Amino acid sequence: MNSVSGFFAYLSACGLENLQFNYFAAVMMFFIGVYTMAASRNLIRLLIGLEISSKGCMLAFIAAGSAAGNIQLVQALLILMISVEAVVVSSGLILIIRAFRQQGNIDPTKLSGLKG
Amino acid sequence: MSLHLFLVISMILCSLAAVMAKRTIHAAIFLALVSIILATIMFTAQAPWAGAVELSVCAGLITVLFASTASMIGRGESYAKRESKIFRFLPLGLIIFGVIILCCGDFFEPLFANTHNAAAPSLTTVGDIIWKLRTPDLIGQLCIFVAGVLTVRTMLGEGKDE
Repeated sequence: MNSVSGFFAYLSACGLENLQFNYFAAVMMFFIGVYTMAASRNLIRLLIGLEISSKGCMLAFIAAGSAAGNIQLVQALLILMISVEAVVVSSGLILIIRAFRQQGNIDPTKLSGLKG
Repeated sequence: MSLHLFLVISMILCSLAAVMAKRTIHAAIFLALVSIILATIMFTAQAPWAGAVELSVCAGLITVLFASTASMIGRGESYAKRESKIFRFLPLGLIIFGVIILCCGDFFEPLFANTHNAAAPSLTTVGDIIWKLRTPDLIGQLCIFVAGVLTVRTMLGEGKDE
């Protein structure tokens, strides 16, 4: 009974200030993204994996900034990170569309005819 | 259950749904949900500017870009069966990975020992700060490099005829 109530007490303490919990969640998200990037043969899904990894990093940033009491610096870094992410994703999607128009598929292992 | 716990669990579940969705348009919608939840976390963490940018750029612009790409490519996704086989075991793998991380938590503790000591006066050079104060960042960079190498290997590897 004590362990059950202790578990619920731990759950209620899983707030933004609980750095360990937030880092754990960030690592979980990073794992999902890396698994997708490593295993998928769909180029769009590779980009989605990259996005999910970066979301995990953002969660770790927010938790660290909140715990350190320096959320303004984290805000500046996050805005920069989001803009870089948008550029990377849009460029990647354009490349995917070009590859699909040339090759007829979005399997990275079958893009053997790209030249230039 | 605190609001933050609910948001974080929802974000992980939406991430899983995004990578396991059979259609790309569904994956884009789940990715937008992840962005919305992350923006909510930013708002609750007193970071409204970052939340607003996340909401407008990631949940708005990037979702539109993904949806447009999915509609342009149309039914060119002939890998749904193979993809669903690969991602069937992802939740189990995630649980195993989480248990390993929880069990090895003490092993990684020294990495974070100096992270909270941001005012350490002896660390003045960039090298000292990178190697001693920001060790977790260095490990993260290594993980990102490994992920990049895996992606390049996937792109350059020979595909098996199915």
